[in-house]
Amino acid sequence: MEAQATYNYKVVRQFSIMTVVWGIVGMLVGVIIAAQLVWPDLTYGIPFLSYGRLRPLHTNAVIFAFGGSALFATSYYVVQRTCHTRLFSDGLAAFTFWGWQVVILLAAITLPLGITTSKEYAELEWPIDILITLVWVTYAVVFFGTIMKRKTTHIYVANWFFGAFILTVALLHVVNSAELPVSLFKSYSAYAGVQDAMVQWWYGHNAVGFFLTAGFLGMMYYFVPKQAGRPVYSYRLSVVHFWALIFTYMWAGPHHLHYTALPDWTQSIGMLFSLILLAPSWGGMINGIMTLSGAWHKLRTDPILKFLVTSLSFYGMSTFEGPMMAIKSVNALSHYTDWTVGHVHSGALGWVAMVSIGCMYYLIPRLFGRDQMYSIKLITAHFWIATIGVVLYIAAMWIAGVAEGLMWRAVNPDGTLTYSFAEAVKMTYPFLTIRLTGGLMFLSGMLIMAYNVFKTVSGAKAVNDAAIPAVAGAHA
Amino acid sequence: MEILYLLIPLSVVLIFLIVGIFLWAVKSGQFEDMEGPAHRILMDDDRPQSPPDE
Amino acid sequence: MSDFVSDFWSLFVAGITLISVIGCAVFLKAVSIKRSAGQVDTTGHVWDGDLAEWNNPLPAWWSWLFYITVVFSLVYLVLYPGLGSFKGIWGWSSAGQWEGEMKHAAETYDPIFNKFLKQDLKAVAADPEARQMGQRLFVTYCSQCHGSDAGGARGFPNLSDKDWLYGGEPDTIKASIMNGRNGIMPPFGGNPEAVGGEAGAKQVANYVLSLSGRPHDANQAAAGKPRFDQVCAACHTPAGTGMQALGAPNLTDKVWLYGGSEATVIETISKGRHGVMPAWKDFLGEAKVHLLAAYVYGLSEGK
Repeated sequence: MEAQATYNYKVVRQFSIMTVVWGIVGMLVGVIIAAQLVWPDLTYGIPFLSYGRLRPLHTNAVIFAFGGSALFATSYYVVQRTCHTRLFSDGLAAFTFWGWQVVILLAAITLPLGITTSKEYAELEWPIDILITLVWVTYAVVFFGTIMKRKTTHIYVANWFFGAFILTVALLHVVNSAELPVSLFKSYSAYAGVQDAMVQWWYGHNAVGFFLTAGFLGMMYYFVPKQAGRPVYSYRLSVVHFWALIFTYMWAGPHHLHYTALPDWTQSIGMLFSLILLAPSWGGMINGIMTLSGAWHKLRTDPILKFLVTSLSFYGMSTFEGPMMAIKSVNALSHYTDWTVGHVHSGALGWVAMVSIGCMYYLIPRLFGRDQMYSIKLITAHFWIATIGVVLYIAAMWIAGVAEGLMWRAVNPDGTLTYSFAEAVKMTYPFLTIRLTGGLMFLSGMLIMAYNVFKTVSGAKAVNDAAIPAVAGAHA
Repeated sequence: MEILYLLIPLSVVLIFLIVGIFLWAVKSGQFEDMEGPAHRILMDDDRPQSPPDE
Repeated sequence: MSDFVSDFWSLFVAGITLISVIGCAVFLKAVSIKRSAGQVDTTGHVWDGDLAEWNNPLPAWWSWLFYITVVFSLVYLVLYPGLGSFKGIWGWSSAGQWEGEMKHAAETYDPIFNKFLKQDLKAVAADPEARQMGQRLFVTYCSQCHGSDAGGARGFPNLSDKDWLYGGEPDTIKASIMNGRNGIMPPFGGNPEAVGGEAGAKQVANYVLSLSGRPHDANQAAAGKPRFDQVCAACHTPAGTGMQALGAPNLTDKVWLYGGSEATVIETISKGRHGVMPAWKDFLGEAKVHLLAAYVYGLSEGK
């Protein structure tokens, strides 16, 4: 018997709790900026509460703080349990937790102060970029170190997704954040003009592809079969679509730069690989949903499964919408409108947030020695309020976005524009209000979750040292 | 588009890396069993109450 | 691809693209080989009997979807630019499409606008159809600064009244739009000689306020008059009625571009002002400017 016969649940537990905390913070900031679009003077013109500064805070908080914590928690849990071994290093794992929290705190301080590189989803200034790099390399060491010392011969498919996510995000971050510091709080990108735009969206789209897709598919491939109690529908499909997905995502970035100074051929390649991406993306959805075939009855009673299956439906929907929006002629209508915002949120709320929430409901009782969450009814309530919120949000943004696109391009018989810009803005007003309602509902769901988690955790004994079961002989 | 001097070699290196990992995975038998792993995770009971497997 | 000095880079990029697109299909073909029938697991692992049913192949429709997107891409790469410097057999380019659309627009719409270009501005201003077209142009190009009702904003003149910085004749308005305007009030705060420092600026400001009958300190104003005559009168005239040739505002009326409080006038004198009206000649062309000028003229005439 080796010395370490237990799993490291401590770091998983820390990240799980912070997932809930940062989810609430990030979505609250989102609700505030959504309200600012309805009532522009809401924050009395206070600079650090202005839309331009809170918007990057919102995106960073939900993607990297909420999504990132969920990914850390689940990847650390899954890699241990599927490799039948403790994390490579407890110290390094603890460093990733505290390091990541410091990154988030620094973001929460610097972004409202207006300290920014102004690169979307990479706004943090160079000293924070260096800290991110350190944390991420440590994460890679812990994760791959654990894979290396696995007690099983086979690497479970979820780990392939997590591994690709960790490796690629490291590469993306280092290349896109290459910058020349001029002071402690100011740097300039190493690239200029259209070159900079190309690198930015190579990063930006792969952040979606690897951070928000591959990482969360890793989550899906463990927690959906576990919660459904059934094996993955087609393990073969999971492996095939993994390789196809990571290969094609890399090329899709230029679709963010259609009809710009980017050369035509680059735009074409971006569009085509976005289209090819449809099948690899859908592989994950098919596999997740088909895993439930024959177990549909469980959906009626199990709200965690409801979360997971709904998240897969939103995933399928937005990965169909994405390739369509990458087609140049569709993009000509959708680009710069609220349609894009709706698309992003069908992915971010519908897929990323809902799959994370489902996984947390699975994980948290197990990390605190409970049979299940404090209240299953509250999970069900959370599910419905969140789902209705997302649907309201997306539908409002679709209508507003398509209407904007059509109004912007409408011309009179004399060639003048039918609508001035302000008229299109005015048209969106009721839809921005519906969007705010949708966002508020989603946030309320998170508050219900926080209460449920609190009641589950309080008085519970944290499971720090779950025993590692012996590897079943036949499969060792 | 001088940036492609960086991005293209980077992509090529990445492709070789991916192909390398893929070939390693195939060679080391990662994909020989296309069904067992799906079942194995289910046999891992992670309920905190269950006594550890001895 | 003009930045790339040799054909090598073009071939290199095109090659990688093609290999990658085709590679997707080859990969799919390679991994979707039908498994041999039979219940016995090839790896020799023994699994619970009924669980073995989950050995599902790739869904056929999914594979077809994958193949179709690959074939579509290959066809697209033949027709459109995408493979290095190869232009595609249809010869499409985004610049070409833009030029085509602009040419079409010119052919379709220019006659409509040119019809009015031949007419006198006052006649155009009296034409309801022209005014409507002018209004559409105005809300698209001018409303951002001057407001959709042309009522102006701080620093941006009201175009619907009869007060004009550079003159309200139709041709003058047209010249303002065509060539733009650059209105400069020099800063006098840094030069104590000119208005006499802070105290001097306050005196001059009070004199300026007195010109339009606004509340002011009579003693201060009296002290400011000599400085006004010496420094300001050159542009604003000794009476303060302004000079349209220079765009120097009339200081005796109730119109204040930047505000008419004592503090604001002191600020204007000390720090100066710089108002810019961009030139629209090249962007819109004379015919559209002609309609805009007529529309703006019509507004001030209360039409």
